[in-house]
Amino acid sequence: MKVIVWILVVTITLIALPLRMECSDEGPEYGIYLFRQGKDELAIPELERTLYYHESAPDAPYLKLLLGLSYARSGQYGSALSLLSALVEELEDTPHGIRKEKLSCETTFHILNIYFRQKRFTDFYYGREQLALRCPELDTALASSVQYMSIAGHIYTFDWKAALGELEMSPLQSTDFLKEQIEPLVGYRSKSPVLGGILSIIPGLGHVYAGRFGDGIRSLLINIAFVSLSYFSFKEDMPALGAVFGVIEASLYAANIYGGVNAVNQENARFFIEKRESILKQIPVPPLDIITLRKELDF
Amino acid sequence: MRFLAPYLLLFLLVGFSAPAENAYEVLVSEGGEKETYPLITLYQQVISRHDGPRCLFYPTCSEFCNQAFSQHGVFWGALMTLDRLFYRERPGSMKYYRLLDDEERYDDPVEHNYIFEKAGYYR
Repeated sequence: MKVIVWILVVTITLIALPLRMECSDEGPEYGIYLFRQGKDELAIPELERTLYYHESAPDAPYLKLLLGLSYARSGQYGSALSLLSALVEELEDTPHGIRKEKLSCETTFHILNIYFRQKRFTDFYYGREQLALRCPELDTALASSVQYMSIAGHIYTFDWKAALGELEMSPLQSTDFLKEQIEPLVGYRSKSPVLGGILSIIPGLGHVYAGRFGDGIRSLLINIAFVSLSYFSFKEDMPALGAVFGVIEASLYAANIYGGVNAVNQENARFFIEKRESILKQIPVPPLDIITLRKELDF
Repeated sequence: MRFLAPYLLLFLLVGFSAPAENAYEVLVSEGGEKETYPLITLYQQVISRHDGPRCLFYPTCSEFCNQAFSQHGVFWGALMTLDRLFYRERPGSMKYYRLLDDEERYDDPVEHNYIFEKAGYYR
């Protein structure tokens, strides 16, 4: 009997005690921790929840930035852009302190980073001007990253001259290896497709001019074969067959000229695309991560 | 015969075929994003099915022909297809093209072959 009474007393006491066993949802630490670990699928709902309950908390803008970056890292660029743009506007309306300015600059920088990743270069270059106006004394890490991204943007759009101009104007250190690669491309004279077409009057020569020797020889042999077939058909009193071979040869000859022009165009494009790829591989792109605010966010 | 099959197809196509149309293509998808030529369909479903896949490029030669004809008309489409079939469809040409992810075929879409639009080559 005594045992039963004791067990009952302990049980009732346990039930009655105001124990709080659930996780605390007071602070944003868990969301920040998940972001730092790179677990964006988990960080997004956690940060969204924290922001929902603590919208006017002093750290809310920082959390919005983290949430925007989490969106971007998980590929939701649209959501990221709308959140970060709203954050920049919100920061403009509030009285400025040093911390707010730093936050605004980094947020604008990440908007640029997202534009860059979306290949929206017009928006990127416009945004860069805005960033220069808004943050005249930009952090060195951010400034150099913006420079690299704008150079990469020009290279991506095959604007070698603008890329070289950007490199010469920029205060970036040790970019000579990029200059060396871009300089020969500025005045590079591509092969002329018109000349390729004219040369193709002799079958295959256009392909050879483009650098495709195998295709050129093939073209020459095919044309010789059909001309011979047509010629010998007429010679041996088979005009119908000769006419058929003649029509075939005429169309193949026209296709040979088309192919000469096409081969030159394709080779020109291939040359520039290969150059672009090799140069872009050497240009660093900033990560979608906190860069200057690590101290503020206790990273 | 193998050599002649795409060739005959092409010339028959220029002479006699017309793009298939139906109410859906005309009304819903505004003319249809993709026209299909009956003789190409015939080639794909009858000849190519028995002959086996042998095209080294993607899109395949018959599909390339289909797209070239529907995008650029019969004249330029025929030249583009002839250029590909007769002068480039061979293993030696492959080094000029990018290998696709499946590592079986090489990338050569119609946009990379239309000589009057330079931007197409840089896509």
